[in-house]
Amino acid sequence: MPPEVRDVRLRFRWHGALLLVAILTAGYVVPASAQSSNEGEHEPISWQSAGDSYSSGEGVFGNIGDCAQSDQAYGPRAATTLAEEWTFGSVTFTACTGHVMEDFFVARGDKGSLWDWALNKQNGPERVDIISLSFGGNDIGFARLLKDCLDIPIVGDWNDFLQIGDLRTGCDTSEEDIRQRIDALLDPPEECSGSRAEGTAGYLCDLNLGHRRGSLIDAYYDIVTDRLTTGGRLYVVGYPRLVAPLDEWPGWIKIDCEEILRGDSERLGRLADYLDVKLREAVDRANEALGETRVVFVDRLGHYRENKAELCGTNEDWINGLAIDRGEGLNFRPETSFHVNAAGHAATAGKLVEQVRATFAPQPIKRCGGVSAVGVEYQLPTQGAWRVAESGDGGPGVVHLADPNGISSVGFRIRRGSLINETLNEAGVGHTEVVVPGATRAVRYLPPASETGDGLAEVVLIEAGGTTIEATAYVYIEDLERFSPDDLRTFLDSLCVNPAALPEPQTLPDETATTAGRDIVITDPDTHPRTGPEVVFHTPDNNASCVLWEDSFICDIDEFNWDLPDNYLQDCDNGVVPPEEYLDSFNVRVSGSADGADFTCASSFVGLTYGIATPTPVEVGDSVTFAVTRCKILADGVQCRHVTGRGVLLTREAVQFS
Amino acid sequence: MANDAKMSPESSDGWSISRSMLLLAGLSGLLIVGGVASYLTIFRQKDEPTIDSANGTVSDPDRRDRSQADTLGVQAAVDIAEGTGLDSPVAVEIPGIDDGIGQWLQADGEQLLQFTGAVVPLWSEGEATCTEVADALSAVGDPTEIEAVALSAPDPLVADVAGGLYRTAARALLACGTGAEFEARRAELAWQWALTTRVFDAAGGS
Repeated sequence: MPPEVRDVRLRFRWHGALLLVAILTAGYVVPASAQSSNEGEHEPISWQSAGDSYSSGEGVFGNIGDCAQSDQAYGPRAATTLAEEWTFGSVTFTACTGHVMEDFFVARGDKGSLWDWALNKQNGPERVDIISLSFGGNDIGFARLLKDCLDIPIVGDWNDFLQIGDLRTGCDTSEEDIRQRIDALLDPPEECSGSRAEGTAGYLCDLNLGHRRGSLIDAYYDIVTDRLTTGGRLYVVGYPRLVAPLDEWPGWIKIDCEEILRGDSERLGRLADYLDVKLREAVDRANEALGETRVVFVDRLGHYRENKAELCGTNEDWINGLAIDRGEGLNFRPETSFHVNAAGHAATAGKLVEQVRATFAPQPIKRCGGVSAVGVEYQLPTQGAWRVAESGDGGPGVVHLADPNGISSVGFRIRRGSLINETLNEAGVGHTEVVVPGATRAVRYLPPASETGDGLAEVVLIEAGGTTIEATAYVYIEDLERFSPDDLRTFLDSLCVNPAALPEPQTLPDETATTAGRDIVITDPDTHPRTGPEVVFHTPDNNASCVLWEDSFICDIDEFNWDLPDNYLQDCDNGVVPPEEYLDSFNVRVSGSADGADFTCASSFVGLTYGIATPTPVEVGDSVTFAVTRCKILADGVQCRHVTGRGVLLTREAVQFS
Repeated sequence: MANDAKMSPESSDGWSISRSMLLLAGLSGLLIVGGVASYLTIFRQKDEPTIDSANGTVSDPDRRDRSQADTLGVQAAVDIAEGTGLDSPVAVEIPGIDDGIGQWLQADGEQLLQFTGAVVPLWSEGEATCTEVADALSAVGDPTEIEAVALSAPDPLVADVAGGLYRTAARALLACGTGAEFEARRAELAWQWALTTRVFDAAGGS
């Protein structure tokens, strides 16, 4: 047998899992008996146990699947413990042997990224309360380093040792080299395009975090901001030393410990200490960037030290030495070597439970009540005589409430799809994650203020049941004497969702997905041809034209093949003009703002009023964004949306308001 | 690692034939080690054991002389092990060993006894015996087999020392032909061999 067999024996998992057993794809199940206590006192907790082999349970006898998962691993075990006192809604288990930090964000194999695995195959929520993980070991090539430290090749015959001619002397990689790799996790010196998971990026490269590249700190940051609920916490679990310090070895172990030579064991110990220090630093820096403590470090190294639980220590080992199988008989699995065993995971689970209890507070149950409509419950502002001004007329899932004596309004509408991220990106504003009962995710934000300052708006976006509920409270400035903004906000605070009762949402044809073009973002209209504080453009066929202001927009269309509503122009000052006659002189105009989009009166064609100056040149497929409005230039018209999502599709063949 | 078991004195009771055989077989390698040659001559003259160094076995050894041979062999190994710079293997305190290990060594663990005997020339005589020892070890079992038996010992102490002996022997063979490097590995092997012998002795006597 050639000496390279050693590579098989001690090879840690570097390639993705392709096959997962059904029990794991269904997610880890917290025992039902443990879920019953205290039920109803807080919102059900969701937990994702991610990470690498030190989180999956690779070292636990009986682990299963390509990811080498065991329900005795610290994550599921801690969740089970906490389920005796808290109610859990979902517990997903995505930790996978051989995986790196990037795998949390980026797909490897057919299960997708670890996050997607939880989301799509284990029915995990789009935001979770707790994520626990360990990453970093494989990111610095620790398995290969360790393999190099083991100096005895596997051979088939003793005479093979005489033929090798390659006397190994322990660890080959320099300590300084490994330290640089660890440093690079926090401050990558190289900007790369490849992926560590795929082996196309080196140890000094920045990490592929899916939508961007960055450091371990950025990874923690993105997990908190993109994957956790408002009060959610990320628990970063560290790594232990493998081998006890030399002065703790028993007298009969002197030459090596589990094949790791004396000097190498000290070197590996120093590197474990250094990795621990840097992981702590990464956690601290992520919290600094977040402005609050959302990432918690779970000290595994110190816990092992306190209990002298490393290999060749004086107490029970919490790590396997050289091992060759996981309980499957002849199925050789050397990867179980030098991994945390069941006792070690039990100890870390206990430590994690302590940390979670100390740093995570379940969200109290929000009491719902009040008015219920189309699957959404809400309470009306106490001041004023609020009534439904539009329901049904605005399409299914639209509720618009107004006081007849004011212009202010509250209301919501339901749109198809999960649109929070898209909407926030378009708005370009900060937001806060909030808890809305029944929702998978909810955020609250303030749309950009209008330049005229004629009102205050606040928006809550709620994702539930495959839809997005967009709730808005808008106070017109002249109503401030009658309505308190705080009172209107009670409408937003009171929202609850019953996903099962939500109607089929409005469908806004989105032709933007079919064409690609430039993304013209106008931050300063002074840099563009204009006649006032607005942005103007004409569609290439000159059949439609739009004007975008700081807080609203209008669009005109000249020729179209659809029918105008019967009440068109009824509210116009010159509403006496019949549509047919009107159209001879003017065009059809729509306007949009935070209040929505609708037909409006036109005194002249936009192209005449505003087109005197040179408009912003656009092509089919381009997007034009200015202030609160984003428009897409279509082949036969235009689609414009306010940041609230309200807008219009205006083409030769259709007009649709949303 | 269950090394917190209470300490117990070594005992010479309950010698197993197999263990004695390997020690005697190992001692055959000491004949050319000048410092101990005279002792071995006396020993051999008294008992005239038939030694099969390839298998590490010997026929009908005398109990008293086995003890003497054991002591002599360990002392020779200790002398060579000084090259490691480590504390003497005879100074290592050996904790109590589970009951039944002696029986295990005679049955499932018998290869370990043979293995322990077969490696003696490598540390006692040196680099020149590399091929001879490799051949002798091959007759005992292939490397993975020996390592597996060592690691499967029901007593963790026995597993530790037997596993250590496997690894130091493998390293010494890997270093054959390197001169100075071999000498360093040879000293480590001698150290581990002396310790292993003491542990096996204690196991057999418990």
